[in-house]
Amino acid sequence: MEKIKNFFKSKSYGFYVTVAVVLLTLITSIVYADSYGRNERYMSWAGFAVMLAGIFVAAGLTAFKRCEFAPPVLALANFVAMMLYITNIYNYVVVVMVGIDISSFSTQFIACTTLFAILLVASVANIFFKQSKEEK
Amino acid sequence: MNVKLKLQKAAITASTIFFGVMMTATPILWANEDTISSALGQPISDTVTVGDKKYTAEELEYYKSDFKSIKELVMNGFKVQEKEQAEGTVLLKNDNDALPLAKGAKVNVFGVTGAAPFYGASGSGGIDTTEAIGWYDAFRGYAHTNPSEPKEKVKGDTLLDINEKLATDYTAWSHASGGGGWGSSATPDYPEYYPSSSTSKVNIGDVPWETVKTGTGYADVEQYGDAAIYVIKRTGGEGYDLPATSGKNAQYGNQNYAVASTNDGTYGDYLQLSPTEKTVLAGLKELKEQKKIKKIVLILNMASTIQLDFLKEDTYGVDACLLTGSVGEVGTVAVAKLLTGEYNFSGGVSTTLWYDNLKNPVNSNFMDQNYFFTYSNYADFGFGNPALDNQYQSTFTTYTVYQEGMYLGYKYTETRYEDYVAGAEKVGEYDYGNVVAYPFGYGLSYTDFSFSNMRVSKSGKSYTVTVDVKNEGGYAGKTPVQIYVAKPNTSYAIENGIQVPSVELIDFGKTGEIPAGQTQSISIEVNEKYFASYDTFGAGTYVTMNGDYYLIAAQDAHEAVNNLLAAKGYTPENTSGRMDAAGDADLTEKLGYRFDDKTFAYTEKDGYPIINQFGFADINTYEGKGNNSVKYYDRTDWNGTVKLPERNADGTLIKHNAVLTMTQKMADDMRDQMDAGKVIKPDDVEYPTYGAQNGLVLLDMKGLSYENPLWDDLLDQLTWDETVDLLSNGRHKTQPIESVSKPGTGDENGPNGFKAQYSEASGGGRFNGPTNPYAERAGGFDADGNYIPDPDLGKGYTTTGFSSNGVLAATFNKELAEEIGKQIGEEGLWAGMSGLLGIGLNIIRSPYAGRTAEYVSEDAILSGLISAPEVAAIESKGVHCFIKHAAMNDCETARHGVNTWATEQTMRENYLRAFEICITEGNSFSVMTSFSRMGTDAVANCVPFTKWLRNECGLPGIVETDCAGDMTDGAHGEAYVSRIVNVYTGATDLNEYNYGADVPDYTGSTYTYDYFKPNGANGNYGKLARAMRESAKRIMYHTVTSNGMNKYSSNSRVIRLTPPWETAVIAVDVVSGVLLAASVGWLAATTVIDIVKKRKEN
Repeated sequence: MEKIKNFFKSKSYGFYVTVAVVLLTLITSIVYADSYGRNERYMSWAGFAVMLAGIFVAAGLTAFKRCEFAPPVLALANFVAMMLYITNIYNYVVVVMVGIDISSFSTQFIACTTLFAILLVASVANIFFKQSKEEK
Repeated sequence: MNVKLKLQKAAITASTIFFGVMMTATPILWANEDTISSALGQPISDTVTVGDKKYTAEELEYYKSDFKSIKELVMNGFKVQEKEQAEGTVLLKNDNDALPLAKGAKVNVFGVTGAAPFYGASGSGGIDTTEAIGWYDAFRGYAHTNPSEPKEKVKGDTLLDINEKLATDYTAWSHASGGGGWGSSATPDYPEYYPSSSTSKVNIGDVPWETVKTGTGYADVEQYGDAAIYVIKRTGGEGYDLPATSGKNAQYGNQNYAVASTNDGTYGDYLQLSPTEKTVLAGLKELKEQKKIKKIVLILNMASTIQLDFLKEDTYGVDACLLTGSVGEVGTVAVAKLLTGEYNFSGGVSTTLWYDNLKNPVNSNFMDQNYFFTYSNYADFGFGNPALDNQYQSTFTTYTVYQEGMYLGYKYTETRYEDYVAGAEKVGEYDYGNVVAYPFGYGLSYTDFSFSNMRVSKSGKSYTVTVDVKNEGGYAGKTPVQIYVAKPNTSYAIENGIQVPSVELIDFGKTGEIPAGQTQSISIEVNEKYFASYDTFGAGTYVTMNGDYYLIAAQDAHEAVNNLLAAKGYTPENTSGRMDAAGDADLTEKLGYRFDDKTFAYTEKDGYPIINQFGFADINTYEGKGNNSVKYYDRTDWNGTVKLPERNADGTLIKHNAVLTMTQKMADDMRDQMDAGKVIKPDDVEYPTYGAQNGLVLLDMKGLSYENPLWDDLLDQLTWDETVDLLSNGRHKTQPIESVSKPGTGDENGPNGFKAQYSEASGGGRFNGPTNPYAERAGGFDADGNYIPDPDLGKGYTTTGFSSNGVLAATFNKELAEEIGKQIGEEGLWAGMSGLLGIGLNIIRSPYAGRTAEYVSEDAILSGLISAPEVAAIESKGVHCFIKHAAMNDCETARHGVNTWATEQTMRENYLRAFEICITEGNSFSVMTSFSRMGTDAVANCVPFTKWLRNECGLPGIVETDCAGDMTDGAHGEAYVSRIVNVYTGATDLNEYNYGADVPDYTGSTYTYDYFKPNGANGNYGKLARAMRESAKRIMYHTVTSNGMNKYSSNSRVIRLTPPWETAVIAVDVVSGVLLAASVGWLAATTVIDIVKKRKEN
């Protein structure tokens, strides 16, 4: 218990942002997979995997007391995932915007795009936050 | 954190984002290479001249124009389109000679459609409405009559003096923009009267009568009381069908639209009057009763016709009614002249007009946007997306059964009528008058015509039918003469499941203008092959049967069957009134035939045997049918087979559609056909030669047959990469190929003519391939040998916006069709188009079909025979038609991948015939296939169908499909074809899509063409390579026989260019990489220096 107390005691506000980013990453990956998991054309499982890998690596770094590296790892993973998301969802955007069928953006698309955008902004901002009080 | 570290983090973050964005964007930019290049005016190819020999412009014009300038061409387009509308507008009702109106009569024009006409469909059938003339202007006397400035709308004599205040009211209410752009029509957006969302993707909208009465124009209504002209419309277009009820009440769909409003048809049925329209009609009736207006004229500005119970029952006192279809750019002018008697009506409807759409049995098995038929157990096979299925239809889960079989439209109404009159068993109660409002072929005129003295002679395999047509009235006029065949419904037919409609249109003609009181003879040649029925289960080919065949001359399908009944001895009297009018037996000719399964069992041109091909698309004969079984409509048991749709009190529909369940084989068939890994196996077939230096150019093939061995030498020059490029990029174009000097060519929509501009950039500036707009050299050569362009090139002149194809069909005038085709061909020549993505030839199976404006008729013979001369004329100008959408693509709902099931007889006689006629008689060079499936076979990968096109029809050119890339499944479904498999099987040569580079299919696989390349690590795939070469040959054969070769000599060389923007993108990619490396290097160097420093300090 003491160890846990000490662990949190040593953390700066950036650490809590990292935790929030991790949670947001998890939510985004779940929403993404749920929205497009059954549509191979629009789903990037690689992007999904990169997001999860980012979480695991960030957790590992934190466990091994190198939490200052967790934000850039998360940011990189989430950025790569977003690029893969864009690569796959691009066709959908084209079809909706200029396709000959009458269609509009689905709730799933709006949700995923919003989540990825928030995630990227939060991840990038977090790079500049202190993770622990000892950090210089 | 120190400032330096912050800067370093910022630098790395920014450069990483920059680099990542570029790496993501670059492939997307490459995939859209052509679009970007066109937009920037940076071509991907150029033509250079080698050698010294000089050619004159004339020598290099393999296809020549009959026009001298863009303006002359545009003016002729207006003229021809007006003629089309004049002959194709159908007068349905004209009580007490309500029409014609006196020229200059004072009239009120009611309805928002008066201010915002339905010019053309949306989607591929859209036309440019920038120069279109609306209803008001047409009545005012405006037209394009100035040859010096064709765009100008010139005021001529007033045709109808309209209540201008009322027009101003409606213009405000409708917020009509006055046209413009490529849309279907000026789009009213007045929220109260034309809401943007309603019960469906379409809504009706109009101004309620109470509001009309508040307008400034209402006070003047009596002053303009010669007539009230009420114009109503229904739109339509690509990607959706029309709703028969509101989404809220639909049985299957869950579109979450609101409950039907006053802006929707009754019950949300788009093809009924809306409550608002009823208020207007009731208001007009009241005005007429108050004698404030003399008569009510209703204009149906629509291609999908509403049910006309109110008209037949005279609910609103409508005196005259005409059906205009979508009116194109200047069709309103023709209608105005028809209304005032300057022209006379001579059109006949190309579809049955229903008294009640629920009496049309097809609607039980027709999906519309709120009703789609899904296999109940599709999820058992891993298909579908539960999150989306209630909104959108998956490409694997839906089906439609053409349960009506042969009995579509008039072939149902007239056959059941004949059986009812003849007292056949199991007919049931059948009140023809409450089923059909106006029969197929029907149309009035300001005069009356009588037919007499029918003579029939035979020569070879054709009959010549001659009829004397007398103009019995007081106006000069023309009339269609329709020839029907009645086949014997023999015991052989019954035993072998051959369905024999009562009467079938077999050919037609149109008289010239006959002065009042005079007679004109017309001779129509009839091809005997249409006497034959397709006998799937007996002879397995076309047969004639033992018995009496009748040739019948008539003015519509109902008259034809009454003439037939008369020939068989029936009268209204001896049928207790079941026969609703006496027929004329003298307009029939009885011909005795013997059973014959040889004469029509081979194709006319090549003698290719015609045998069963499509059993896989009939659920009853499909190998994997499981427990499914469908009882198709059968003439011997109308009661037992016909299930009409019903409407519940709350507006919902009971469709009584054929219900199917999915079987494992269906699921496997659908999955396996798109799996390149399963279909394409390594083989020991030798790859063709690539990159040979044989010194040939494509022009050397001009005039050579497809089988000429020199083709092999030419094709050997192609590289693998060029072949892949050619097959991977076909959206509205074919690619330029350097090794054989194949120029890029341009193709453009659509179903009833081009929608393109005469622009300085070839192909209207939209595509980056074609190099030969005729307009670029219309002025010949200058002193330096350079082409002199038409001075009007690039000034916004556009191709003609023709009326909906049903209007052309309604003319029953093949010569006019040819004239229109010639105009379309010329427009292609001038706009730099060597391919037309049309004519639209699908069958109008139901009025609820979204694309009725693009298609011709419910009848295959009318569709084929009216379109064939049009297609031939287009082809004569070096414009190859991609007739579409071949075939069985008769609804838009779930069009991506819907399983379509039908009997082989139905397919051949109802749904394939129009395509067959346009290839065999119209010389259509190419075909665009449909999104749908035949059975479980995606048509894009349906080998038996392509064999039918090639072997039975003799199709020489490209089989192209829309079903590729982003068009595979719309926005929400799943891809269901593989472009690589399609080429491998020989089903499809080209995709109507630009993949840019050799990217994977959207089928979840990783296969690209390069996976199968020669000397690759994955094995030998010579069979695929040979199939690729065959498709490449088809594409090049298409080009070399088109106007795409105009301006090319044997000295011309095509070279591919890298557009400057691509070089710039590569440079930016490099810069982004360098920046990323530099920022990382900076941090790394700082860190190393810090470490070294610390070590030194320690």
